[in-house]
Amino acid sequence: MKWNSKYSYLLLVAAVSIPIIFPLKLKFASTVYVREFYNEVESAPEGSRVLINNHIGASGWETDFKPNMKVIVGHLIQRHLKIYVFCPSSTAPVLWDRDIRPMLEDAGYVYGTDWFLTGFYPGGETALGAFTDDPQGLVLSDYYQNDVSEMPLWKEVVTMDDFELAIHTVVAERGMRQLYSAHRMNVLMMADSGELSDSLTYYTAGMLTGIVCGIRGSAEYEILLNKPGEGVRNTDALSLTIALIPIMTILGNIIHFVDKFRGKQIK
Amino acid sequence: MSFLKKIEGPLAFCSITMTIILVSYFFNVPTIITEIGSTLQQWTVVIAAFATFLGVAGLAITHIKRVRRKHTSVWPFSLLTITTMAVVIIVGIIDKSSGQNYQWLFTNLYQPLGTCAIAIMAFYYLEISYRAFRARSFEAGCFTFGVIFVAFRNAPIAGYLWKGFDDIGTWIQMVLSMGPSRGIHLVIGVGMVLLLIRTLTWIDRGHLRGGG
Repeated sequence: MKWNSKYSYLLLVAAVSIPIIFPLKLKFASTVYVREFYNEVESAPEGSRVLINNHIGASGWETDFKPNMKVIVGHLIQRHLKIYVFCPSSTAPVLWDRDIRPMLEDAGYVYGTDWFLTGFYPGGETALGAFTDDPQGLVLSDYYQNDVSEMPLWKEVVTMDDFELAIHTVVAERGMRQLYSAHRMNVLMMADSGELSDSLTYYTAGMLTGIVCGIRGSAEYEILLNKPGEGVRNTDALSLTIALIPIMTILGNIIHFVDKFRGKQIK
Repeated sequence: MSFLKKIEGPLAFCSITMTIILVSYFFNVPTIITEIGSTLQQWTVVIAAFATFLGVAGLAITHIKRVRRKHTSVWPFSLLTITTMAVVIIVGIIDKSSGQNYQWLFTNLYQPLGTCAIAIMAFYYLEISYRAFRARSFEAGCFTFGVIFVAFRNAPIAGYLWKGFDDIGTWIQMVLSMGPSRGIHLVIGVGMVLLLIRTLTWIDRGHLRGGG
C-alpha cells in the first residue's frame, strides 16, 4: 500500500482552514505550570519591578511568542507592575517596539516611568550575565538612544535584588544559570512548544516557578485572565494540526503492518 | 613581540580570565575580583559586537568573490545577498532600527521569510510522523506510543474525545521523560566541567588556532 504525500498536505491545509471557517471553540483546563505563572504575577505587589529577558527571534514571534507576550504583558499592566526589557537578541527590541509598545501606550504606561526597553546586546548568555552582574554599568542608553542616567525607572535598579520577578524567554538553561543560580531570582519561563520538555525539567526541580509555552500556553493564560484572544483563536487550528501527527503515525503503522502481513517490503 | 606568536600567551590569558569569572560566580570573593569579572563580561558584549562586523565582512568577501568570478550558477543569489545586506545596513544606520523604513523592511521582508521557513516545517513534521514513527521493534513501538499520547495531549481536541489522552500524555511528559531528561542535563553539566578543567590546564587547546 502506498500513501501519497499530497493527501497529507491537503489534510494539513484543511486542518488549518476548517477552524477559520467553523471555529471549534473548545474549552480546556489550564495546566499547573501555567496556573503557577499566573499566580506569581497575580500575587506580585503593585508597583513591583519585573525583568523580561527578551531573547525572541522573528521566526517564532507570530506563531508562539506574540500571543504569549501579549497576554502576559496584559496581565502585568493589569497588576500595575513596572516592566524592564533586556534584549540579547537583535530582533527582540524591534518586535517589542512594533507590537507591544502600542499596547503599553494604550494602557497609559509611560516610557521611562512604567516601562523600559534596552537595545540589542550581543553575546547571548554572556550578555545576560553582564547585565545581571551590573545593569547600571552595562546599559548606558536605551533602544531609542536616550541617555538612561536620568531616567527615573532605570535609577531604581542597581542589582538583581531590585526585581521581584524575572520572565525568561526561549532557552531555559541560560536563564537558570544567570538568573536563578547566580542571583536566586524568582524565574518564570516563556517558551515555544519545543522548549516545554527542557523547561519542565527545571520546573519540577523547583528552579522555575511557572511556564507559559506555545499557543496552548497563551490560550490557557487568556482563559485564566478571562480575556480570550489570539491564543484561544489559534488553538483551534493548532488542535487540528497537532492531532494530525498521531493520526498520520497510526496510519503509517497500519499501512506498515498490513504490508508486513501481506509479505511486501515497504520502501 | 614574539610572545604574541606563541600559544602560551593566549592560553594563559584565557586561563586567568576563566578563573576570575569562575571564582566570582561560585565564591564570595573580595569586591575587586567581582568587579573585574563583571568588567570582563561587559568586554565580551563589545567583542561580540565586533565579531558581528567580522561576520558581515566574511560574508561580503565570500559573496563578492562569487559574483566577480560568475563561475557557478548561484552567483545571482550572492548578488541578492550582498544587495540585501547593504540595503538593510544603510537603512539601519540612517534610519536606526526604530525608524519607519527599517521597520518596513523588517515587517515586510525579514519576518515573513522567517515565519515562512518555520511554517514549511509543518509539512515535514507531518511527513515524518507518517514515515518515521513505525513500530518495527519493541523499542520503536514504545517510542511511537509515547509520540501518539504526547502529541494528542498537546491538541485540546483529543482531551475532548477521551480524557485519557490528557492524563497519559501528561504522565509521560512529567514522569517518564523527566528522569532521562534530568540525566541528560546532569551529563551535559559534568561534561562542561570536564571540558573546563581540560581547558584550564591547557590539555584542550581547541579554542585556539584549531588545537594549538
